[in-house]
Amino acid sequence: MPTKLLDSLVRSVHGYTGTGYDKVYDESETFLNELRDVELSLVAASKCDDLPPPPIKSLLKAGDKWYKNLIDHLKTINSATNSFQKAVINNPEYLFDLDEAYTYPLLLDNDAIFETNEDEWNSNGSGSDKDSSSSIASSRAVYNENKHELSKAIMMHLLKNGNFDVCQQMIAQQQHQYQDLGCSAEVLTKFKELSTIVDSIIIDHDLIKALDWLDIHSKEVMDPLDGSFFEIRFKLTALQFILLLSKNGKITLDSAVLAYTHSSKRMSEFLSMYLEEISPIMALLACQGAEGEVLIKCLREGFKVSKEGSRKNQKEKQFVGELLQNFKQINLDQSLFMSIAHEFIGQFCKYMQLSNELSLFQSVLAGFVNLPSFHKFNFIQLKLKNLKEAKDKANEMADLVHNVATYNFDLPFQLLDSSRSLFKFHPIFICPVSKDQLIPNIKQDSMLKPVHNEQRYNNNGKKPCHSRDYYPLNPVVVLKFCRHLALKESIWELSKHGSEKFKCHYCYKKHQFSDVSDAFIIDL
Amino acid sequence: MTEPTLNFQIKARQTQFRIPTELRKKNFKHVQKLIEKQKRQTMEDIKKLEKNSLMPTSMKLEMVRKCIKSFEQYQVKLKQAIKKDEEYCDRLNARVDNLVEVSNYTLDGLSHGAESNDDSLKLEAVGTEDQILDFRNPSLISWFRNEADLLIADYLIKTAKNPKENIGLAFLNRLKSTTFPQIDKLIDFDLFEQLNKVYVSIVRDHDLTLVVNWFNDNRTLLKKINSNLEFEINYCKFLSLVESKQLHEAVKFSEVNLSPYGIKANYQISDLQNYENNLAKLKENGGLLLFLAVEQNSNSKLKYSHLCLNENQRFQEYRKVFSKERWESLSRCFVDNFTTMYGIPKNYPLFIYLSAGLASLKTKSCYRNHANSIFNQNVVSDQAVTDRTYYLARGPNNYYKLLEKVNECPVCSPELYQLSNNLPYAQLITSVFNEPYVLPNNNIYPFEKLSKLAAAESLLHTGQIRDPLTLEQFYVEQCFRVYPA
Repeated sequence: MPTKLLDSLVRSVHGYTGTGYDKVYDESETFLNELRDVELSLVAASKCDDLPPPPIKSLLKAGDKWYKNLIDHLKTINSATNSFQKAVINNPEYLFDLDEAYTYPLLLDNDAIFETNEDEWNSNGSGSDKDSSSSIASSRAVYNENKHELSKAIMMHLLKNGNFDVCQQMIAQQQHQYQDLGCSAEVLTKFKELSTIVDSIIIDHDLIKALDWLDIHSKEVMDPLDGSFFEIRFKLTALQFILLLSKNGKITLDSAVLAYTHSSKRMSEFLSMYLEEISPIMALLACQGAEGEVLIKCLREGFKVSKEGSRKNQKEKQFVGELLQNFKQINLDQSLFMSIAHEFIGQFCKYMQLSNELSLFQSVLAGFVNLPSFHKFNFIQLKLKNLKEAKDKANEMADLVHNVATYNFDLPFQLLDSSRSLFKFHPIFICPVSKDQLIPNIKQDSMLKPVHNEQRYNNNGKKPCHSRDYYPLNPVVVLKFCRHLALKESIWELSKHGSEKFKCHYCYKKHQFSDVSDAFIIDL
Repeated sequence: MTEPTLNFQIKARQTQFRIPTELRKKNFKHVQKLIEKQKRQTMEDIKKLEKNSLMPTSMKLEMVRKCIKSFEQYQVKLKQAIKKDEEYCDRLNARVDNLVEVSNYTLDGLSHGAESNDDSLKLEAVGTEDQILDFRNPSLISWFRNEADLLIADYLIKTAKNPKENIGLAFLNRLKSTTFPQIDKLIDFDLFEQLNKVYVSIVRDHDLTLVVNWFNDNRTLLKKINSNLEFEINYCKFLSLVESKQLHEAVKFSEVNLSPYGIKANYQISDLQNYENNLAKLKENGGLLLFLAVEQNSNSKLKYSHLCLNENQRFQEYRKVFSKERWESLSRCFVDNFTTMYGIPKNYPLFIYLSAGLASLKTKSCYRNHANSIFNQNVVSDQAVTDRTYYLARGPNNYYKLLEKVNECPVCSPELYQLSNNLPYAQLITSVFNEPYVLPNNNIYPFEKLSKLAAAESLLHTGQIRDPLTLEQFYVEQCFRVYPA
């Protein structure tokens, strides 16, 4: 449903774009025709002396009229521009500075396309201040490295999205700088194949290549805990059946034979799982001619009823419902092919042991969802007229060690929960006592430096810095009698360093420190 | 209001409406000039015809034909300008249509896609003035897919190293032919391409032709925003002359083109900062010439005074001036003027959204997951843990590998992990899978998945389950439900 702001924008844009130069051109064309008429009169006069002289005076008048009309039209366009600017461009309701939402800048340059060589940077820097010059050089190295990583993230995005040629062009252009991308030709060849399959789905609306690929790689892709492999295969098979059956928007005997051949080859394996969904699709084979139309209507209604009656295979039912609804014009529904292509890409990525989705897209999507919070945070700071101070303060407080955030550096505001379901990637445990987030063991033995709880509060009672390379072990613990969870450090504090009994923070059951055991949350 | 709403999406895309408006205004001025010029010329010709009524017909005919020819040329130019104007109007209409499409994907506008019955979310809506976006609607996600691709195209177009083969444009063309035929109407690719071309010509080619042309085309508008671009261009030219040892020309050039910038009266009050900066640079011109003389003689046997000069702090500064810095300074000034003129964000929008996205996804369980990339496959990651019962195997960096499960977290992908290094961690709430069960070996799993696996291995009927990580078998009664919150 449009909002007032959108309504007003639509009106303003349509009003603004409705005033063009058509009349300006037409007026000029009319005047040009008058000039041509004079030319014709002159040609005639040059051939026959008896003819009257051409109407030059009237031409002068026509010229004045032409110019006056044009100025009137230009004034109309100009006033339309002014109105649009007043209504939209300079209207405070639409005013928005995207830069103001850039609360935590990435370590990436905004104005450097070409990486600056570190030696060059050093030589440009002040020679007398070697310390600062070397620190600039090290941050320069971070900026260059980050730019390199962003390029790779974009390349991954392009490859996973089936844009192999564009990615190859990008690699070719950057090769002289990024000598070693560490990517094998064999892997790239696989993505080339993906690009071909995606093109055949999106552009040619031919799903056979995708189905063949899934048949060949079923062993690598199938996962007993994830039904998506069967789902995509079923969807592709059903859609291909519809494409064959309703070629050119009509069901003919030939198309029915083609569709039947396809179904007999590929559909049987889904019968046990998707019988309810397959039946109405297969019934379309008998829907030829005018009587067929009645049958199609019955099929649609019947399927709608069965869809509402059963909760099984909801996604597949939704898909089949769409197929039944639009099967004659399925080729026009480009979004359907896009969505199928994305599902196929998910399976391909699984085969490549990569994440199903495009990491860059997911991150940007999270940005789209949460940018209002970042913008609001900055807006409040601005309102308090201390954004600069706040930023400086934030930078000071930002626990960064060599440009890397420590575990103490949290966002100063809570994000929305409503869209959290989109972005569930790790199990998150927040201790109900200390409100600290669980930091799982992600370092290897050689790097892990556990600190005993007794040693933790030796810095005037302040928590020590938790860097990514050095952090205390603070696992989840299970309370023996009530099975509630907390972080070990909190329990250590509740039990007065293990010396006293304590009550569970939720149910008040009494425990001793020895009654709790470490636990590990594992994402299966 | 921190909800992702329709109005926020509209406001965040204000630049999309500002740029075509500025381009239309520029085109309008071009049309205006074209008409004025044509009017002047045509009316002069007609007046000549009228005044010289006794002129032979053949001469009159020749004059009229000349007039027609010039008018036809004007019509061609007018048509081109109209075509441009129509293109800008198409962009505005496509952009507004694109936003209208989003209005179908709000919690109250459920006319397409997935259904939503969550009234609690509707209650949080900001009244009738705004609409909350429904992120459970797959059509909205597809819409944002296009938006994300646009951000990437925007970044690639602006940062192309080879403007002749601009990768951003190649990407945009690819999207146009595969994904969304109207996508090129949603981005001012021609303007960004121009930005890139001029930038590259300055920084890489050290060529001033394009920036001078751009300056001449936009002289009036640049004056309005107190641009210092003309000085920067002239200063660059001067330094190039000095560098190429054309000292006489350099001095002459400076007299004509740089000296006026040293006079305060030539600046507006709002432009005094530029005056201060320019004056400081101009004062060093003499020193620059001396520096060059010393540098030229540096190969000969160095005199003590030369050595002293070379060590001098100001000489180091002069060396800096003759390095790439002058081109970078000019390019910065150009980009700054360009973005101000069209209201383009100073930061790449991709960076802004990516920073917010990564900061809101970053958890303390994130780690650099080398497995989720095809690049740097030769990088040796942390030593793999082979003993499945070892406690370190229970860290996500190990258990995903041992369970042969793909970690879907985008922040963990090595490229984005690196970019998120300096960002804060999101403040989150507890979010553990349904039915968490602790096994006797202290591992916590979702019971539903454990039982599915056990059923697949025909263990469940014996009342047993297997820990998929340690491969130990336990009786179900040995496992307990735990309560994270």
